[in-house]
This record gives sequence, C-alpha cells and structure tokens, in this order.
Amino acid sequence: MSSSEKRSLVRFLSIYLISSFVLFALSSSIFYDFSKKHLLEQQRKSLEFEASKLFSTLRKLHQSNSKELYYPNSKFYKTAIYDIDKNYIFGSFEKAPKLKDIDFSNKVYVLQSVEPYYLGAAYILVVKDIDFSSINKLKKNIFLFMFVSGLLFALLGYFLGRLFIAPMRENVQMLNKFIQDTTHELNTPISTILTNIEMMEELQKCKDASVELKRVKIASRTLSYIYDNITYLSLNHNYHKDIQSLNISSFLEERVEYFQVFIDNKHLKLSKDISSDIFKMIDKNDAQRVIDNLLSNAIKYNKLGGFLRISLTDKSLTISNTSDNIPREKLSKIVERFQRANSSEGGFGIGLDIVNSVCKSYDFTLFIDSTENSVKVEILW
Amino acid sequence: MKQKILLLEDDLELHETIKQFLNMKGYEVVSAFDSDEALLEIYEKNIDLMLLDVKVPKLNGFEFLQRVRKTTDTPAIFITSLNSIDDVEKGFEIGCDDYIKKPFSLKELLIRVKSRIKNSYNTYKNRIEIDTNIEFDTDELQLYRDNEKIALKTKELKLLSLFLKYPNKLLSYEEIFDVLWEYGDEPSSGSLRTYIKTLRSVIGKDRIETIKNIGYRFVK
Repeated sequence: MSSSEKRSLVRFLSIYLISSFVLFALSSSIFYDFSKKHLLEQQRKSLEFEASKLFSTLRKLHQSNSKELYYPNSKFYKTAIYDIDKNYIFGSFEKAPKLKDIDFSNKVYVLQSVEPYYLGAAYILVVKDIDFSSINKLKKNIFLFMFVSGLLFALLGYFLGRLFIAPMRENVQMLNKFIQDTTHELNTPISTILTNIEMMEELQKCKDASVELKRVKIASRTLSYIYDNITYLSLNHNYHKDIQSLNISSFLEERVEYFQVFIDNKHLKLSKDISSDIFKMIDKNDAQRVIDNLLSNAIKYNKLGGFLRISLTDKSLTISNTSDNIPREKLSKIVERFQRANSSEGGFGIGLDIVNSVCKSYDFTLFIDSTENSVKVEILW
Repeated sequence: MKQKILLLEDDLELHETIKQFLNMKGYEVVSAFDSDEALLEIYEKNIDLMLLDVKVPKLNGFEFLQRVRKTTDTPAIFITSLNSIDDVEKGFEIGCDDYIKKPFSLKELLIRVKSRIKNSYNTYKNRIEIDTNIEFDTDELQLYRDNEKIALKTKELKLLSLFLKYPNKLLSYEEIFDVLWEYGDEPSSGSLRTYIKTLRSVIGKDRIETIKNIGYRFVK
C-alpha cells in the first residue's frame, strides 16, 4: 500500500470510528441513565412493600393495646417512625437521628405518612443502601457492548475503507503501469535516434547541415534526460543499487561534455574547477541523476550568455548559474515534487525532487541559495 | 579475420544501427531478431561475443542465455533499460558478463565490447605478446611481427585465437574442430596438422605441444 493510500485509509477510518463512537457513547449513556432509574425504582418498590408491612404492624399494635411492643427489624434495611414534628420515635437506627439529619446519598428510601397517627407516629421511614451490584453489572455490560461493537466497527470500517480506496488504488496502479510501459517503449526509439546521430557525426554525413544536426542532438539528449528522470521516478528509487567507488571527477567531466552542446547553444560562460580523482561510494545511476539534473537546471534556467560555474572538491559539489532571484520562501519548497520556482517557465519540477531524495538516501546535505542574479546549489558529502 | 558478434535485438532500426556501427569498427555481426534465430546462429556459427536485448520475442534475453550457457561460455552483454536492471542481477547469476543501459551511446557500447573481447584473452591490452617481436591483435584477429602483418589463413588465425583464449590448457581435437569448422563443414585432421605446422613455424615449435591421440596444448 502506498503512503497516500495509507493516509486516505487512516483518514477515513478515523472519521468513521470517531463518529460511530460518539453515536454509541451517546445512546449508551441515555440507555444507562434510563436503566439505572429503572433499577432504583425497583429497589424503592421493595421498600414501599416493607413500609406497608410496618404500617400494618403499627396498626395491629395500636389496636391490640398489648403490653409487648414488637418492632419488626431487618438486616437489609433500616426503618424508623417519626412524629409529626419529624422527631425520632423509634427505629432500627443506632443513634436517633432527626429526619432532616439523615444523609440520603447512596441510599434509597421511602417516607410514608401514617394516617391516622398510630402510636403517635406520623411518618414511616424505610432506608436502604443502594444495591450497586446490579448497577455495576449494567455498567459492565454497557462497556463490554461498547468494546465489542467498537472492535466490530473498526473491522468493518477497515474493510469498507479498503473497498473505498480500491478504485483509487487500481487507478494509481494502472497509471504507474502505463508510465512504466510508456517509458519502456520510448527506450528503443530514443536509443535509435541517439546512436544514429552519433553515426552521422562519425561518418560526417551532415557537413552541410551541422546546425540542424546540432538541434536534433540537443532535442534528443533532452528527451533522453527526461526519459531517464521518469524511469527513475517510476521505479520509486527501489531498484537494486550498485553502490561502488565512483570517480566523480571524471564522471562529472564526462557529463559536462555531454551537456556541452546545450552550454554552447545558450552561449554560457562555463568555468570549471574540478579536482581530479575524487572518489565517492555511490550508485552510478544516482550520481548521474544528481549531476544531470543540476547541470540541466543550471543550463535551462540560465540566461543567454550567462555564467555557469561548476566546482568539485573532496567535500562538496557546487553548481551556480545566472538566474533571477528566487524568493526565500520558494527556495524551501523548490525541492518538492512538481514544485517550480517560476511556473511560467517549462519543466516538470521533478529534477530537484530527485536530487533531494538521492541526497537524503546518501546523507548528503543539499543547499540552495539565491542572490540578486544567481542561484547556487551545493551538495556537501 | 574479424571477431564475430551475435546481435539479438528485435527493433529493426536500432538493430541496423548497431550492426552498421560494429561493422564499421571492424567486427562481423551475426543478426538475430528473436531468440529462436539466435539459438540457430549460436548452434551453427562460432560466436565470440553476444549482445542481447532483454525484451525479445520467443524466449526473452535471460531465458535465452540460460539455455545457451548449458553448452557455451561465450561472453554476453545485455542491453537493457533501467526498468529491468533488477533483473540484470538475475542475469549475472545465469552468466551474463556485463550490461549496458538504454539509451546508450555507441562510444560506450564499443568500450564494453572491446573490453569483453580482451577479457576473453585474459588481458587488458589490445595486443598480446606471444614472442619478443610477435604480437596478436585481439580486435583485428591478426598476427604481427614488428608491426608487419603476418599472412595467415583464417582457420590458422582462429586456431591461434583459440589457443590464446585457453593458454596451457589441453584442447581436444573435438574442441578444436568445433571452433574451426562451422556447422555443415566436414572437419579434417589432415588440415589441422597443416595449420599446426604453419603456426609452429611462425611462433616457435615448442609453443604448441602435441598430446598424442588427444589434442594440443599451447604453452604460454
């Protein structure tokens, strides 16, 4: 899966999961409140039953006038009777609290008024600690439900996401395949053009049309350079790299010679300062992509009759050329793919992106600096 | 006499260009536009170097080389695009000697062809010194004495070239016949003895040893 596909999938999943989580949490909390109320109501109902039992006991006592006052006790709940002024008469409380002093938090209670006042009691109070076990069970069930459904939805979301990005994925793959096939098909004709130009030069067949031949040569070399860039990009840099000690000095000279016809064509003033026999451990293709792209940029975005300075030392490769000033904020974006300093000029904007990614993979540092009328690109290695 | 290069490339224009160029540089080019043709040519002719495109009809370049490597160790250079460079690794495993990336320049192609051919004589130089003033040119397949060409028959030069490729190695009659006479020609041991005699008269009697009833050995 490519990084953009991953990003799309993650975005989709997070939106999907967050929204379904919010929905679930909301409905669960409503359900919880409702169920809790219902459970408490049930507990209260049982107390009411106890209160009525107590009431009938009181009535019996009242009517029987018996000497023996029997008060029903239970270990599950506490009861008390209060007079009209809400003073404690009797009950199973250890202390004798006034009605207003009792803390009813975490408790369910029933306060029933007694009519008429049997034995002077005006109210019957039945109090019980809330039975949390059923509420806890409810909580546990809700969390379990949230967890399982969350898991199911994540799984479902993942498959849905894959399903959604499948067409995009196919498109991207098709496009990649198309680019690869195209470049592969371009390969042979470009080779034929380049080799035949070489033959014409060698056989000196175009003495009368040397200017025309030069133009064909420039065009075909440009084609070849673009072709190389596209192939390199479409392979996404992950072909097998053959990293070996490369004589950068002679390789650079060779590439400058290759671009000489471009340099002459733009009447650029070339100054070279290339130290000889500098070796670097690098894949030859990577080295060529860096050098070709830097040279090509320095020539392409140069002015007619401008300067081109190439300098190679053990520490760095520096290429500077005449150019309009590139604003500072654009300099940092210039290395990104499809970004160009000046979009009115031609180009794909992939050259510096390639240079940048090659530099990154070898831990080289890439500096781009611009002054009033020049641009300098420096690679520290 | 010329070095014989088998060119396997299915694109007609590029094929003709490479062929024209190599001819110009003094090589004989045997053309093949698909791997079946190439197999036939390899079977019938004695090829010194193979230039193989990877994407060709019938067997692809790798499969072709894999087939060919069962019977011959003729050096092979692949012509390939960057897209198939990963496959080249596989190519090296099955016995390719070098590769050149498309688009390429003829100059680069020539450098590689030359270096491969010199390599089959185990040398970096264009000319191999046989005796103090006698040299063998690997490019032209000619023998020189004090820079004067020594007139020799084609088969004699082929024989010398074979000896130089395998110095100090006992070459059987069979092996020599295979190289000197192409498919369809009747080898003759009488002629072979004559060639040996001529060569001995030029480079010295002791340089070629006769191993009775088996073959010959070139002493370096």
